[in-house]
Amino acid sequence: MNKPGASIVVFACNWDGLSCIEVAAQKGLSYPASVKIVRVSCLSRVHSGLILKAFELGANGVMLLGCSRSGCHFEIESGLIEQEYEKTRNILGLLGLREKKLALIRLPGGDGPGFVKQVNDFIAGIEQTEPAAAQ
Amino acid sequence: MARRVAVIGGDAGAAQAALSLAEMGVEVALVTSATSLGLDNSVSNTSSQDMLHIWPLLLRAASHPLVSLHTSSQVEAIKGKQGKFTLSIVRQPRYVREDLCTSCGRCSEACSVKIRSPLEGHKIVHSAIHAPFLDAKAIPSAYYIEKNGVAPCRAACPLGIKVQGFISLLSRGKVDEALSLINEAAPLAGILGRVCTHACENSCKRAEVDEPVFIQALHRYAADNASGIRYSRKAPATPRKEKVAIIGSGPAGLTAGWELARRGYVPTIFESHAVAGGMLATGIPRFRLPREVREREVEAIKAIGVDIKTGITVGRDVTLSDLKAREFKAFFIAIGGQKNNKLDIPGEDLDGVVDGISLLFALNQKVGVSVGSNIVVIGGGNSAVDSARTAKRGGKGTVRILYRRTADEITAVKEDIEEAVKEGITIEYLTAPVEILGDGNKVTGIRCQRMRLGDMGEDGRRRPEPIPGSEFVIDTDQVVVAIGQRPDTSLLNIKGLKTVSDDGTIKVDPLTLETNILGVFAGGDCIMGPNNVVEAMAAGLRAAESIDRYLRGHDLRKGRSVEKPRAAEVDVQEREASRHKRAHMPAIQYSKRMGSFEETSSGLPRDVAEREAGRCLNCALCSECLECEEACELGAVFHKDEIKNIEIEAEAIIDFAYEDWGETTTRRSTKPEIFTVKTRDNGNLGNWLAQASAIAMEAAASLKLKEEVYPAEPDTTGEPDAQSEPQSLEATPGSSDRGRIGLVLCSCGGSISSVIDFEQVLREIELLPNIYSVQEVAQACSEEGARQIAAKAAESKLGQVVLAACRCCNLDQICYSCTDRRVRCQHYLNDGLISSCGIPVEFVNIREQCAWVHKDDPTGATRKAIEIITAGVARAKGTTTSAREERSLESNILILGAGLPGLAAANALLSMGYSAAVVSGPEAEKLTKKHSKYLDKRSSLVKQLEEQSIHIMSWPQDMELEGLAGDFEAVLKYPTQTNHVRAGAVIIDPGEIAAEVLPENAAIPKGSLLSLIFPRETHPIGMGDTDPAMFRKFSIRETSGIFVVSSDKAEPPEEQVVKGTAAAARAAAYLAQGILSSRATAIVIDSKLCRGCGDCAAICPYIEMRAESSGAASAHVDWALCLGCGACIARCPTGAIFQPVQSDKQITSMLEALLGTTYSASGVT
Repeated sequence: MNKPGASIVVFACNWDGLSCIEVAAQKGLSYPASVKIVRVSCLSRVHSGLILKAFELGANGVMLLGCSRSGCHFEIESGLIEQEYEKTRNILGLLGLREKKLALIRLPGGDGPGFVKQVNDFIAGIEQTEPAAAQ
Repeated sequence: MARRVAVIGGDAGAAQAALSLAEMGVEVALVTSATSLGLDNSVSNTSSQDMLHIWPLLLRAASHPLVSLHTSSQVEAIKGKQGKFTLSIVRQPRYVREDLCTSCGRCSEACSVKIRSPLEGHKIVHSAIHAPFLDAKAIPSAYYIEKNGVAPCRAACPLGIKVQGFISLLSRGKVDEALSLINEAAPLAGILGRVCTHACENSCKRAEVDEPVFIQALHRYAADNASGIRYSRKAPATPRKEKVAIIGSGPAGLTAGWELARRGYVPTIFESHAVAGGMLATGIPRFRLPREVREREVEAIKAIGVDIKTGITVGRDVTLSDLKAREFKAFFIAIGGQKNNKLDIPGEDLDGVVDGISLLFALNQKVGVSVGSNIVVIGGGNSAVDSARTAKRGGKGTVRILYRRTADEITAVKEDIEEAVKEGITIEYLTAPVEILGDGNKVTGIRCQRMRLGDMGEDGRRRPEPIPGSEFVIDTDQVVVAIGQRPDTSLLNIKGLKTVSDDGTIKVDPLTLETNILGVFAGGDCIMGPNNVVEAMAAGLRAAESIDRYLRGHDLRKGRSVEKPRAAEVDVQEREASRHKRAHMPAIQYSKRMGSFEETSSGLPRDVAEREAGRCLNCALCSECLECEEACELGAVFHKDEIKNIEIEAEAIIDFAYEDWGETTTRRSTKPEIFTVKTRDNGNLGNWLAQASAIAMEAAASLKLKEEVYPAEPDTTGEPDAQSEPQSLEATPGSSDRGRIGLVLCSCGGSISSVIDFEQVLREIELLPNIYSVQEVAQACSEEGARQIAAKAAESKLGQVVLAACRCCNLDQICYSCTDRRVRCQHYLNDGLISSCGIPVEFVNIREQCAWVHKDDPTGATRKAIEIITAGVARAKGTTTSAREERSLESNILILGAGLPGLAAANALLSMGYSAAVVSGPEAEKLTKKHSKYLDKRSSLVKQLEEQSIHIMSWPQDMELEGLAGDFEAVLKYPTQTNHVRAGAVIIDPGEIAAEVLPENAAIPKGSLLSLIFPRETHPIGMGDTDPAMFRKFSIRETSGIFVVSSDKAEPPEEQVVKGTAAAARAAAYLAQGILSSRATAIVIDSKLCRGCGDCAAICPYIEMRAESSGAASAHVDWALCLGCGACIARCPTGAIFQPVQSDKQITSMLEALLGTTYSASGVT
């Protein structure tokens, strides 16, 4: 079965992140079906191992979708997530994978259109540099 | 029995009060005039972010089992007094069932009406059926229909046809549906669309913009362009055996027959002519109503079981007694008028004088009839104009109409008169015949006189009176007298039938159409005198209703009226319609009409008709086209909903809607016992909610619940209870094997299954290992759905169920994305499966995340559904069921700080039957006279406490705080004694004690009580708008049982009291749980794997490092305090930390499924 477009894993935090995804659907917006959502309690739960696992399993891109910097539901310092994100980007670089394949996106809750724009831009960026992913 | 409080209001404050009370074990009736709970405009500057954050509170309140939510409900009156109030509530209809609607929006898509509404400064277009809020989620999310009474067009229609409804359907190109809607009310659409006198157009509000909508042409368009006439009802009536005879097959008789047939009868119509239709056949010229159109309609009526016997004259060929002897049980006389009215002037019997009906009959039904060359028609009704136009077509001479009044009084249809004039017919207004002149045998002329209008006559029209000396003669060889007919009841031969003496019409009861003879009804022209088709049809419907009631032995009068419904008020300006010219009816050129009886007008073409339909202003908003009912597979749309009067009993009332009462405020404010929230703190949500909690506490205290046991109410949204009762798992057969997984697909009334190919999903999922059953349900969030799922689970001996629907987790939390339907889904499954059978359910969202967002890509959506279901199965397989931890909550409360908040909290808790220990902070500053109000308040609160034998302890020399959440212990050391205080909750006022316990930010030892208070609980009650801790408590509920109030002596004393009472309310609600049990999201630390690095404790305020006996350190956490974020897992280098609901293993197996690497059985990679 041909996959329509690049395969993207979105690790979405359960709070503002998931609400963006829900609102996108409720507003009748759309993004490619090759975008897969993995809901986590908080982005701070996601470590580089899980991100790398997604790439190992064939994801063309991984997006971390979370609350705005000061809006964490659990009041986790935003620095924690950023450290993990930077660390993983460096590993991706070492592995020869383009760092553009990983994105950290912070959106206010309920921003469905914002999410759709971000994910579409992300896919476009990957497909541009990696035409094979687009198929 | 639970006690009941009524909370009036629909905002966040009302929700907070309702939730607080419910959590204390009190039943709550939450009454709001709005269609849904909302943040409300009571707090200024509310953004959608605020709505999102407050969402879990609203949802938790609305879905608490002790809260019953009454929406669209206005409190009309309150009777009784404190302890026993009765609220009279009027509930406006919603037209959508809240228990079934899943807000999938299919009705809204099907809706044929588009309304423009203002939203945040601009206008948005939406359907008449829509979500409660146009731009945000709502609770309940069930849609509702905007209605505005009865549209003026429909109100004016004698048949009550849903005019706006069929027009709105035509505007969307739904012609068959439009005709069906017309035919729900009445038959003969092709005829009405041509000859109806259209009272609807005369009352059309569009006339205030430009011109009325061309309703008649649209009526005709629907009849002419639909694929066929289907007169039978969707739900066929039970056959009735009673025989009904109808005398006359005119519009009244045909319509009565039609309606009776639809009600299950087999009526027989007796018609004296050879052709059915009465005046439709004989009196209306073919160029206006072609024979084929009439025949088509008559055939359709016969097709539903109406027997029409032509050529039989009742009274001559068969008598009423004959028919009675042949078991006819009811009769409808619809004989119309046969006798022509006479002019009563000399010369009326000359050759060449004919009546209009005979002329029309001859020209309509016979061939080779010749007419005069210089014709005069007398009369101003439709027959006169029809006669003139027919005569004009039948000959080559001149035709003129004489009418004794002016053009304003003429009763013929305006458009027909215009056509007549254009066809070359002259109309002499204010002209009356005096004598018909002849040569002794044949007509040669007519002497007339000019008239003028005099005084008002009895009929409400000005009487014409002759102008003396104005006589003149018109040469003519044919005079057509068309001044109406009267019935001739003598032909019927019915003994004793009463008639009106001056016009010969039959006397009937206007409401029921009963004559003076039992079982005999009459209607149409034979009771009204000459009238029009639509009125005759209305009489047919009225008679059918009466006959049906008569034969069933029901009351003939109950619930009926001769009054037309009141037309809705419509503000035409508001509709903002721009001008559009009314459609023009295409017609044959005037020159080509003569000598032909071909239909003059040809009907609107499609594009013109659809555009014309689009001119409708939708006066009634919802057009009742019923497309939404058709679209909703769940049967949630309910147009017959009506205003309901409800009475609610309550022991206490909290009124948040005080300001909305308007003029009735006085009535309500005369009851001082009602807890009224008068002021709203602008801009500060925290303060507003604190006020709500405080008032809930006061109301609860007023119930004098003392000594009563507060039952711990299970939260419906909660984690499956089964996990806290492992023994029930053992006891239930079939649950022994968690590996037996069943898949349930919810079609959501078609909202999901119309996009996702369920067959393919089932086919592929069936191939997965561990899947033992697959099942499709129409609605998982209903009792019926849960029942079906439970039955299948038992049948297939399942150990777990994966439900692919809209709910997305089974966790003990309400996040911003959750909905009332998802909560309901969990609730029903909890009752029917999870707690009763011990079968856990894993949820995957294939509605929003699949069917909705990939609507335009069904193949992709189906593929993705298979992947996320596979991921859900993987997650289910990976779920480890560790036993839930539990601990009893101590019912004593420790209050640290004896400022006004602490004292108020203590008083409130005591009044609820809790015990409290109050420790005073040191006197921080000298209170002077300027604090007199504060001091007064304080001494009165202290006095109240002392009356209940509560003495305030002074601050000890040394205090140790130990224990676990829910069961703390404070050791208070004084010089002479040591006090031990156990407490389930702590209320702390840092302003009072900070100086004592927190000298210049000294290091607080980890794991101590203070460490709980200060790092995270720094958001005191009643502070700030964007307080994450406050919002978090709505979604995952209270964890520590430590409640912080801010005290500021500069604040008004009342505000400080409110804050303290609010803290007491929250503490009481927390303790009412009775037992604290661990969250599913709580982490577990494996001390064998922990190497004591402390990385987790560095980021988590609740994890503490303890030295083990071996000397090594290891991490520990109280499960009650863990918020479940999972950040510690990502930090742990050894994998010692485990979260049962989102382990690394679960996440990676989900990734495998989502990325399509787990299954190849179906050839999918």
